[in-house]
Amino acid sequence: MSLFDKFADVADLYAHLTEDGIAPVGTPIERVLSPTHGIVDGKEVILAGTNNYLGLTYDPACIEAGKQSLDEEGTGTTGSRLANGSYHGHHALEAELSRAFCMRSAIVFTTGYQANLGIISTIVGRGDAIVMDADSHASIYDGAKMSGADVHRFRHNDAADLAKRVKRLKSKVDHVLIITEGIFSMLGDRAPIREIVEVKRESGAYLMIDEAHSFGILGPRGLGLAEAQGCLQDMDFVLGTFSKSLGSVGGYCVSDHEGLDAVRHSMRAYMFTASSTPASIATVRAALQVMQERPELRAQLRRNFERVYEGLKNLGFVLGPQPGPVVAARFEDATEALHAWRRLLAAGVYVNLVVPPATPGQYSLLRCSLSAAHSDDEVDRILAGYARIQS
Amino acid sequence: MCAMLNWVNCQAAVLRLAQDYCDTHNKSVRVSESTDLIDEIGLTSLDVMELIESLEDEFDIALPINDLAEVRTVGDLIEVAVKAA
Repeated sequence: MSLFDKFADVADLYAHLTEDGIAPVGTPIERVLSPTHGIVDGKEVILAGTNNYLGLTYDPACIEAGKQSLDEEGTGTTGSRLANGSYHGHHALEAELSRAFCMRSAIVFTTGYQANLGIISTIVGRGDAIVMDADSHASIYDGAKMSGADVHRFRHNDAADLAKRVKRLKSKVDHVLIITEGIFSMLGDRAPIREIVEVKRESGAYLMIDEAHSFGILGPRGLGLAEAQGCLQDMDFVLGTFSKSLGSVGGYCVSDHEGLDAVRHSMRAYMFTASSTPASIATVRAALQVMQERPELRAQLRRNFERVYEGLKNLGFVLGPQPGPVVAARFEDATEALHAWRRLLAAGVYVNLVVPPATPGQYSLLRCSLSAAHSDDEVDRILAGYARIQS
Repeated sequence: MCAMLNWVNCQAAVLRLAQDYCDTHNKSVRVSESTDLIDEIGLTSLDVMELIESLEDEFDIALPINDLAEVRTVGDLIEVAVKAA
């Protein structure tokens, strides 16, 4: 038996997905032309599966900040945050995030994955319990597994189920950490955060929200679902990423708990990895400023995703429960979804194909993510592409 | 009012829940303690979650998913549930 035999099923699935053409998973984007256009399989397509929600990857201020940083600070820090990898920009970005969220502390990570992995695996441990939404991102599952705490799932977006589970645990563990997401990455639906806050208040649990797909999108200042629902102050920990709305790479955790700053000295995912490059940090800082100064980007994104959601619904696609920057069309059969993905690409629209087990349930998804940078004409062409696969 | 969990009533509950699943999904499996939940019954991760939830509700217990990693058979599940009570 070979070391690689256990990957045979995955290899077979990948072979099946690629036998009729370009890979729908890890699709090579040969050239990126703009926030919304690229070359895929030798042909110019609309990019509608890149999570570039505010379209800031080509923002002039962000590009200029990155260039200037490269010139002045070089290509990389060559070390971890606790060694030689904490530059002025890293500290400045943490201060800016603290100010934006009106919370005492912020920690910046090299990726969003590491933010979840580092925080979750460190702040709870043996004797504690995590109760997390069943549809949580892999980074939350991985952090929970590494924590040593007892891990429990509650039914997706079901606050009553959460309450029942937390109640069962209350007298048996030291601390309970509830984890949910703002907008969920696959279906684009939102957590019932006010109801979850009620559970937290009644139980005395801690509450963490991952705003990876809602930061920059929801709330009067773009801080996410918790801000939009008026309960930001009830969050013990807010996590997110810079790789979506802010068009760069990295992750963050903000908290009003005084103890957060000390946590950074205990997090392996923070201590034993290289810090973000100075240029990445510079582009994030510039993008954060753009996000705060240009609320019209959020309004444009909303117009775009509402049009696509309504358009696809009218075409008869089965979608997630509410409009959001992610609009996912559901297919019962993976092969059917694959054929639809290929037809959509042939029509000049690139979206994500997601198949089980990466999807909730046993169905496959054509996952479209909209951008504020999509023009009305591009939205029309996205809808026309979907109409072709329905015909 | 939830039943107090012991080996006997837990065994009965798990066998019943697994057998119910087989019957409603037209699977001709006669469930015993040695029946493999995935390979023989064909439970998906969602099905496993529902089975666990039914068990938790019946006995008012909380089964952490960390303890379920090694569960393969009906008997394994009974053991984990009794331990958690």
